[in-house]
Amino acid sequence: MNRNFCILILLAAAAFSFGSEQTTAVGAEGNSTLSKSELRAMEQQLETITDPAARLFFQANIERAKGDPEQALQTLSKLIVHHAHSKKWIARSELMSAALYIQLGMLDAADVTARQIQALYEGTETAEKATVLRAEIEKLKESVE
Amino acid sequence: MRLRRNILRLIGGSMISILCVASPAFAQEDLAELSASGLLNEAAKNLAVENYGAAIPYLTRYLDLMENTEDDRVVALKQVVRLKLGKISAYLDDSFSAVNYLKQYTQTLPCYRPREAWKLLALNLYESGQVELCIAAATNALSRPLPKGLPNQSKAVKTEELSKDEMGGFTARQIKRIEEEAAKAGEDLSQGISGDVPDAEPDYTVEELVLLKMTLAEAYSQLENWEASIDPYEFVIENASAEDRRGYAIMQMVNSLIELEQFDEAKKFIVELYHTNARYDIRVNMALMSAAAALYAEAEYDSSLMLYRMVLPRSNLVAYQEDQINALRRSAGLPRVDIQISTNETGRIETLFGNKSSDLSQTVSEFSEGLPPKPIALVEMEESVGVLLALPSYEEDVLFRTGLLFARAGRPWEAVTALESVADRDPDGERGQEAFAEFLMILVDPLEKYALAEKRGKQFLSTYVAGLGPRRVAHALTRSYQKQELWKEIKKLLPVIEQFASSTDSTVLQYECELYYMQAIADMVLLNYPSARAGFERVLIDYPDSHQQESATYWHAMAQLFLKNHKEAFDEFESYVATWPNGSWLPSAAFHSGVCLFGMERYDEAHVRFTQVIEAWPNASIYSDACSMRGDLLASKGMLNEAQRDYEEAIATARLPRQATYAVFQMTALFDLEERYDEILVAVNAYLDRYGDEADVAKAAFWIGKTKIAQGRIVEAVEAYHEAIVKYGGNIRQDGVDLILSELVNVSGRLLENDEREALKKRLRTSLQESDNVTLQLRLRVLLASMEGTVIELGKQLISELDELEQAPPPVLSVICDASFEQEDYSRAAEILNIFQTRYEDSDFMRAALKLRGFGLFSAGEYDEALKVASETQALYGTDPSAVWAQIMKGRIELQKEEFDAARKTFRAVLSVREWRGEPYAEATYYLGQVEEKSGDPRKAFGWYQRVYFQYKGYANGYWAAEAYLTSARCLEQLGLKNDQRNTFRAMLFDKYVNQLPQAEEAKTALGAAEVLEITTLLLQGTQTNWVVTLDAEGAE
Repeated sequence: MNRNFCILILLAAAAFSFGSEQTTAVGAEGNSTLSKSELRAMEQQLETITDPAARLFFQANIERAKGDPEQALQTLSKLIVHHAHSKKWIARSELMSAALYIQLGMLDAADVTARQIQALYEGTETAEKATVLRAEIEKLKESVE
Repeated sequence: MRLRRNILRLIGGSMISILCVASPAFAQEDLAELSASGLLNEAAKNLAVENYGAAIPYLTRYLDLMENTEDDRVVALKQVVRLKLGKISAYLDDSFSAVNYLKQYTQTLPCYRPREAWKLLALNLYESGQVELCIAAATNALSRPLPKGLPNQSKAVKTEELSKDEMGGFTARQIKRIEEEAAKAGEDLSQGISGDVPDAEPDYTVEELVLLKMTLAEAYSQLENWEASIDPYEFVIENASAEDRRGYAIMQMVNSLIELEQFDEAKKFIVELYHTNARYDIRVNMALMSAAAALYAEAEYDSSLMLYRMVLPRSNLVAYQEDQINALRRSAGLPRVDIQISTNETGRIETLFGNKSSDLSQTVSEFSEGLPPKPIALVEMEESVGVLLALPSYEEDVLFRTGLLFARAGRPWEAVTALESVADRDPDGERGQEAFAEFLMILVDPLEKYALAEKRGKQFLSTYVAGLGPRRVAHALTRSYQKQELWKEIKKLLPVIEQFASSTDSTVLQYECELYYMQAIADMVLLNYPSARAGFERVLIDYPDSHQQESATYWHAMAQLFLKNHKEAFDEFESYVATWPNGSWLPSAAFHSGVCLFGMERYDEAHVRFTQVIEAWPNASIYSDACSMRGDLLASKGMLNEAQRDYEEAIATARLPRQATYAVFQMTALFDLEERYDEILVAVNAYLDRYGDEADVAKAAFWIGKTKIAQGRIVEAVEAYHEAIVKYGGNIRQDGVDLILSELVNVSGRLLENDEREALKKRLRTSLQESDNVTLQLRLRVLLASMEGTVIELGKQLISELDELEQAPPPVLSVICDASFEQEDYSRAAEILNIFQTRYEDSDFMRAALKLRGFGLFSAGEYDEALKVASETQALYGTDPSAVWAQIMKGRIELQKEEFDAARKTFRAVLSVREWRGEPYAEATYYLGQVEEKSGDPRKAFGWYQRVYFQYKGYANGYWAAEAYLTSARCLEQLGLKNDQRNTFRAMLFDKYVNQLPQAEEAKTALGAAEVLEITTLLLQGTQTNWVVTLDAEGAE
């Protein structure tokens, strides 16, 4: 009984550590509104991540949550450039990149990024999200004009 | 007979088939000794045990033996043999032989397996490089050719109709069994050889069609018939089950579409490729890079970027291939391996496959362990890994191009990441430095990270001085400074540029030329025209026929113009027009040559030139300027209506606010001459409406105020002026404010009552206290001092207050000049005049600077230079009272040079100008005396001197009269008229205008104390005298 209980605990712990890399604290395109406790949790979690692409994605999220979108974009760019074949992280990174460009007011760059996502992931949820971003960009451009 | 023959054929063939299946394999016998059936038998035996190569000699010998046999059966058998040989050759990768046999088969009857034959023929023609024939064969195969028998070929045998002999001892049942066995046997190489008519040929399977279509498509691609390759590639993409084949077909389709410039279609397939594992195919990776480069060249950056991002680094490809290899090895019963790379004794890279369980430094041959042989697919895969690893490195190139593409596509942060990475990995190499320069450019534009770009750029330049890299980095920094309008920072790069190691490389020289050109442009913007001229000269001389030859020629001429070297500038503009009759600066060069003519006072030619420009280039940017200039010329000739038309045209066609500004205010000055005040208001208000914040609002306020004054609305005008000064006076470039200052001084002195004037001064003092803008404060101080008559005192204060004069507006500079003039301090005269000439050349306040400079040069004995300044003053201000000094200075210079006739003429001219009545007359008359005295005619001189103290003693506080008394006394002494000399001195002391001046001391000394006392006593008693000395003969005229 004790042995079974220990196994269950171990299994639960393993599931938790595996699931941590896919934490729901970070959305598909990165979450810009994290509470302080969530932020702290993410920073602690960052220490445990070994996958280089995942580390970059999380770091970018943290930087974004701290209100430094430019730094976040620089970090994310490393992922996009050096880990373009990381299927798990590339799509969401591209979406986050587009969102960060919007945040920085670089609407043309945001539109280019979102357009490329639309083309590359046509017919998928990722492409739909990119379409939403493009609509947002269009509105912002109109308001600037 | 025929029937019998057919039965015998059937039975004989079947027997051979049975015999072939049943008979054991024998050793090879001498081919020449074997009969035809023996040959077929031996061949069949070898085929049955899959010893295909061994069967070939038998089969070829059979064909040779039966070459001339026309028997139908034999002919049919020969065809079977040919097809067999074709298939065996194909299997053994002997494409040429396969083609040979298959061709014969398809060209000979009977041909019962045309589809199979054409298919194999097409494949082997491709393998042997006979691409056009391959296409024909594949097309034939795909047309589903039907089997063709010999003419009059009989159909199936009915055994019940055969005789006993024809049945050959077999029963009907036995013959039927033989037929069934023959029919059941499949079509493979191991099958026996029979000349019987086979069953209908089945249609191609999907895999066969895929293979055929792929071959066809590849053949078309090799012939660069891209259009034709599309359909077959599409078929493969839609039908291939193997992912790698499908992926490869997609890649090839992309290539064809790129060649056909159907980039949108290509993009669709690129996206499809992105989502397959075909990227792990080495061929696909190589093809990706080629296609990406082609798209880049066509400026299809989006698509090109997608392709480059798909290219996998070698390590990823190797890892994937390793997995695939091990999967194959597992299924083949072989141990798994790690892929290792080593270099053999010749330095060649070899790929080795060491067993995972063994020591990594050793490799073990699988065969020595008695392991099963490797499947062909595995061998091919291992070979392809070897090829991959032997390839030169491509990852850096891909990363660099990806960086460039991110930049072109408009994703700057990704671009800098990629390019910085390339640069960091190879900082000393050409590629690394190129990447660094690109990285820097993106930091500048569009990211505007100027500080970072400057820091990194300077670090680079402190390390590297040779090659293209430093030039490109310097170029990026220059661009950065240009964007920020930091022209002085650009100039700081010049010594760095001059330290670059020299090169003969054409690209390096092009960049270098551009750097020096940009330096010269910075000099122009900084108004440093001598340096700008030298800079453009450097470009023209050191980099002949460069890409900036034309522009440098034009701008060199412009620098000459700004330096007022009108003759040289004119010649250069004319030379430009002749050299570049279609040049981009042509209209501007033609216009500015007109400006040069204007500067050289060749007004008629200038008029002609401006008219040519107006007629030739109505849409050019300088059209408005040409209209204004011609308007000025017309106005100077009194053709005011024509001038107005030109100004109106200039205003209507102005592309820049400054063009409209000039024309509007020239026109208002014209209206002012004729007191057309309503039209002034209309023109100025229209100008303000059109240009808003870009208008010269201060100048507009000046004219509106002037109009109000003319209309008697003094208080309103004064208030508007005050408001304009406070609002715009903080901007040093608002020269309209300076006009208001002068006008306000004028109006307040003439038209305001005392209390109004004091109230105005009070408001101005309040504005002064409330302002923290230095320029506005200075302007207000000058205004107040002008109103209070304390300009000289203010000037003296400002001389000590202001070390730097660049923030001082023109009125302030003028006050400084006046104060300096009074103190005879000419130390900053050149500097101040230069500021006016480079920044405020149209300012009215430049008069004081010209005067200070002129006197400074004169006092230093630099008469030629002084004469230039005087001439310039007269050119600008004509007979304005403020410019009379220039005329008198001219005369004094001529006097110094003993050019007495010229000097006489110059001084006499003063006396003919009504505007110069007053002190200038006294001074000029005095100098006329000087002329006569120095030319040796004291009698004439005396006459002029006498006129001075007779007619002009009331001017200049009697200064010239006092001087004239002394010089006339000197003349009388020279003439030996001592008594008249004494009388002159006595007259001087009796003259109340001069007797208190310092010059009177000389008279007192000459007369002595007793006589001075006598005169003083008489003056106190109210005695007046009329001492007049008259000389005979010629006197003053």
